[in-house]
Amino acid sequence: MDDTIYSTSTQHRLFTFTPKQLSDLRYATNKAAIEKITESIKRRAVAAGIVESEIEEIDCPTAEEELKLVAYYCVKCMQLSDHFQFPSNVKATALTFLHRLYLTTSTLTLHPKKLLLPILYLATKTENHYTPIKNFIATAATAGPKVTKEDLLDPEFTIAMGLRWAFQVWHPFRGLEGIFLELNAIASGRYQPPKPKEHLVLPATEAKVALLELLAGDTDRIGRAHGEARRLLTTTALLTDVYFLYTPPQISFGAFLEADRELATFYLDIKFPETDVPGRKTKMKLLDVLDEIAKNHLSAGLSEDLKNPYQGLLLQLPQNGITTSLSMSVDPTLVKEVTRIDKKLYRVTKRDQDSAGKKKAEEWNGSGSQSGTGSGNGIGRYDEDEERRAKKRRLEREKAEREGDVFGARLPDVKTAGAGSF
Amino acid sequence: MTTSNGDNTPAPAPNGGELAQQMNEETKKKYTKDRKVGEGTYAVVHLGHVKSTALPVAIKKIKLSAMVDGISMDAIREVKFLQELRHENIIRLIDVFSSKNQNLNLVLEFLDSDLEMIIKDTKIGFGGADIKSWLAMSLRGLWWCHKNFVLHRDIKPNNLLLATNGQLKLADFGLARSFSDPYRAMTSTVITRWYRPPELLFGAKSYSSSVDIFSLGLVFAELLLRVPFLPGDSDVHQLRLIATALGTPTEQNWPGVTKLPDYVIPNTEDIRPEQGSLFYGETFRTLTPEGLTLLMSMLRLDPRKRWSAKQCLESEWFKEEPTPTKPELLPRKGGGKGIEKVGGDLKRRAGWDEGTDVAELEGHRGRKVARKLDFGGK
Amino acid sequence: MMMVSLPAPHPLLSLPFPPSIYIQIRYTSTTQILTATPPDENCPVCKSSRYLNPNIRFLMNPVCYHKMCESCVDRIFMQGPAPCPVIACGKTLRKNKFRKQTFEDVAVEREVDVRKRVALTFNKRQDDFDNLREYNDYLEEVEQITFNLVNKIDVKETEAKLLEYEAANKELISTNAARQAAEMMAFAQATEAEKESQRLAREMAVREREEERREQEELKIATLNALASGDKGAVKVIQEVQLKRSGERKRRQADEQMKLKSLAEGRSLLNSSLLAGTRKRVLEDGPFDPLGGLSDVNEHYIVQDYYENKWLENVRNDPAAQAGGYFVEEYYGRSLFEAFSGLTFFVDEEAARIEEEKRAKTYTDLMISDAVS
Repeated sequence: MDDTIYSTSTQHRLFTFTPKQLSDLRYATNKAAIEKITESIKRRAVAAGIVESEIEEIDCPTAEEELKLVAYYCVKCMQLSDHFQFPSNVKATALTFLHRLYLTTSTLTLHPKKLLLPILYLATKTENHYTPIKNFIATAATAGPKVTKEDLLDPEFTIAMGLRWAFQVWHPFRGLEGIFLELNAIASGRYQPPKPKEHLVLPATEAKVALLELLAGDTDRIGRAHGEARRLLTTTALLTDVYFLYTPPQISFGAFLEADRELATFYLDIKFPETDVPGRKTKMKLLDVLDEIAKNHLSAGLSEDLKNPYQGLLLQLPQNGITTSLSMSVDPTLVKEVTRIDKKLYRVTKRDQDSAGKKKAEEWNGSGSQSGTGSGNGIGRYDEDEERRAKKRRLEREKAEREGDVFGARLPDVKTAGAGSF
Repeated sequence: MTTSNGDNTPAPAPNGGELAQQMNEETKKKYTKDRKVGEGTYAVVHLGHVKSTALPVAIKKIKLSAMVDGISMDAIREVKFLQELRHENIIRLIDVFSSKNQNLNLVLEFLDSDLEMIIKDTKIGFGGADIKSWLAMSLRGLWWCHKNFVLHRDIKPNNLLLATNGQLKLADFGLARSFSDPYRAMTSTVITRWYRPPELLFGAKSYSSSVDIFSLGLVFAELLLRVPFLPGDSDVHQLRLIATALGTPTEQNWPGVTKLPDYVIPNTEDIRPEQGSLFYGETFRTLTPEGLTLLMSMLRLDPRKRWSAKQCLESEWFKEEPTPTKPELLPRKGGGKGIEKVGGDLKRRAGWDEGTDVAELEGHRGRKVARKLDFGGK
Repeated sequence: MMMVSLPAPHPLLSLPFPPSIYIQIRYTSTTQILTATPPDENCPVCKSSRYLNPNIRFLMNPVCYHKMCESCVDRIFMQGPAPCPVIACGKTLRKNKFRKQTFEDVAVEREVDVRKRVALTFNKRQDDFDNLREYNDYLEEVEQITFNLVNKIDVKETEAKLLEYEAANKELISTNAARQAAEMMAFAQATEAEKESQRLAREMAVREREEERREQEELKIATLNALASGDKGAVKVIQEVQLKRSGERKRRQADEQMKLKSLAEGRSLLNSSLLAGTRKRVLEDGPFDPLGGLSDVNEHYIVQDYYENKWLENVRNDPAAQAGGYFVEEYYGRSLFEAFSGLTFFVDEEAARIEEEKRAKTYTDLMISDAVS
């Protein structure tokens, strides 16, 4: 029954994928955006008189490059959040929003740099961590970026739409606390097993003894494991794809497993005792999944050189050259790579603008894009309509002149009435 | 579903539109608007239907452009929680999409009446079995909210909507929030005054699910009396009514109450003990002893002594004769007037019909800061 | 128990028989077979005849069922209640109680009125009973009462019985009455909807035929022109266009029909859900289930009353938080809940299951509304 509640959550319904689905989605988003911008640039060029075959090559970032860029800015977002000293749920929510947004939005449409603060602000709202906007702006200024109220609020709608209005994010933090509540209860001999499993589990006193044996006098071990697991959850986990691929309790347990494998295994044996034969299959599968999380995503030993367990799939892994930790993010080669991608992005989006720097006509609903003219509530569209009508009138006039009839053009047939204006 | 089309693995874009935009368009196309049934500065409610199945829906369009600080907190809350809660007795948010000009559209299930209408309509008669049925459904909805660790914080008869098949649905989650985390200050100016529990009137910044139970208890009383039980016209008056009807809160019957931020010391001659079954029996003559116990346990002054939703549902009263009326047989009032009323309910901003200070709601101190009353002694 | 005020009975409810019968009767009454106006009727009071006054109309009063002409009614009862002019009767009558006779035979009229009255109280239906035997027993009882009242046997006792039954079953009576009303509304709506869709379909068919005819005309003219100008190629092209057009049209028609059908289905779904509200669902019988079919059992953990935890100590000892009703136990509950809810939910297995389901494709009406989301 508990699983029912989880399965109706938006996190599960809308933002949980298999590795392949996740990868496919990223490629699809990238492809769609490239098609759109290529077409737009070509149209502009042709309108400006350039022959199609002579249009300079349009060099768009690949899906891999986009992901590197997003991952890099995620780290920046994390650093910003720490600067504001927001609680971990606000930070985690902001990062999750950022990851989710770029599943269906491409950097070609919205540059992550302009969205870090708006997303952070939105996260304070959805997590009920009220921050008056003035204070927010003031604190942001001390971190570097000068930002106005419009900069924060204008992209909100676009962001929310990209998030499909699903604001509830389930984090693994409380789950981790729950695990340690029980572990500490075992340590003090006061653990009570759930009713259905009572007869299968070691009685409390025995469990305590077993645990103390394991600890072998190292009473701080539980606290350290707790701390390490929590650190993994508030840093590394937020820079990987675990939120998309696994459920929150699996992430909590996975972090625990990575922090202290022996202790975690002990706890799992208590919760899923060997004597519970029908549950064995589930337990085995669970252990596999947790292992995956620990080894493939959270392990400190991950690096570019290791074998890629998700070969060919576009996931956030160091094997794909994507930063998954704060330390990695300051690696000079990575920074150079990101700068290169950023430049590429800038070049290509710049081409998709009028020479006057006006926003491209197809832009909709005020997003903080490169050209930065804040609120674009359909202004672009209006201009386009006007342009079209004006052009039509001009063409009509020219045609009439060409006909050369002093009395005006031939009267239109009944069928084509409406082509001219009354 | 992780692989159903249209959710998170959409078909590849046909002509290069942004995926997010495309998904939004696809969602929007599923519904048509029929006619307007309510309009306000905050939202417009249309009656509509699902194109493919003709299922009637209510489409609530929230005007975000009217907001000062970006998307407003109650819009966020409403969308956030309704997207996660799925239960027979909670209003179903079928879909969400955005339209041009920064408008948020919530596609809600269609409901054409609410409990307030039924209570106030003198032509509709209902009896104990009906009240049991409504109360049970409200409790179930509330139980599910609490199970998901969501406080509703605005329980009152016109937020308890009724479907055509008689099912009661909790609606209006604009004041909801998640609970149970320690050290997180919560605002105490929530819940419409007539249904507000004493701990909130005393300014408690840390509370729990028992606030909703108290509100529901007062709704229960209102169903029995057919008039609001404690209609105070100011916070002070409300406290006085509570003290008169239910008893004066003291350290004896409510340890720790004097430490609450806005606690008011009553005049010593006015102190009444917490009421027992005798008083309840006299005011609510139509209730059996089990029913009286239930009502009392929902209206205990000390929130820690109040029953939880589950405990309420397990009360013997529901199993006694007469058993709760089947939902489809409950007295109803629907049709045109009902639809208009519910349209009006839906268009309101959460908690606004009372002049609640929204600024205070959004967390910072507004104009209406609760003043510490000085009765001359402390 | 609380006193219950019954809602005003629906006007259509003052009928002793289910509505369908009246629909038939209505049609026949327009042909005036049942109205009691034989051509040579005389008013028993003033003896005026139809021959002398062709517009004469007769009224009767349900108190004594005596008939008289409208002018007599006006004349005698204008100033208030008065005794019935029929000599043997003399019962006090009121002007507003007079109404037209529906049946030729006064006895029938009386009986029908009695049945109507009884049916207002005794309105149980077959599905209110567990078996046919009980239903028949109930019907027999009702008949007995009716018989007594009609034939004036033991009137006092029977009336008392009626009142007794009414008082005892007040709630059931009103709910049944509501059900009947809802049923009639649903029925009316359903017929309306059907008529609508039929009308739409007919209109569409007419329009299609018109278009078809017009297109044919055009093509004929075009073909003739092409032939006249000797352009064989043009003729072929025109014919191909014709074929294509007719194919397209047929496809369009099929689409429209599908749409209409699904709309009709949707409406019938809606109707059946409206009606479902009125039908008693036998499945829900049984003792009251507090959680409405859901369960609250935790498979993996128990929430204990106390857990050692330094971080929580402060809030446990904070009287303001305690007094406000903050339960640290709720925090324990939530932490454990989030630690285990979804733990054994495996994403890849779930994805595989969904693929299976998609291939199976069975829709319940719950899924129809779910598929929307």
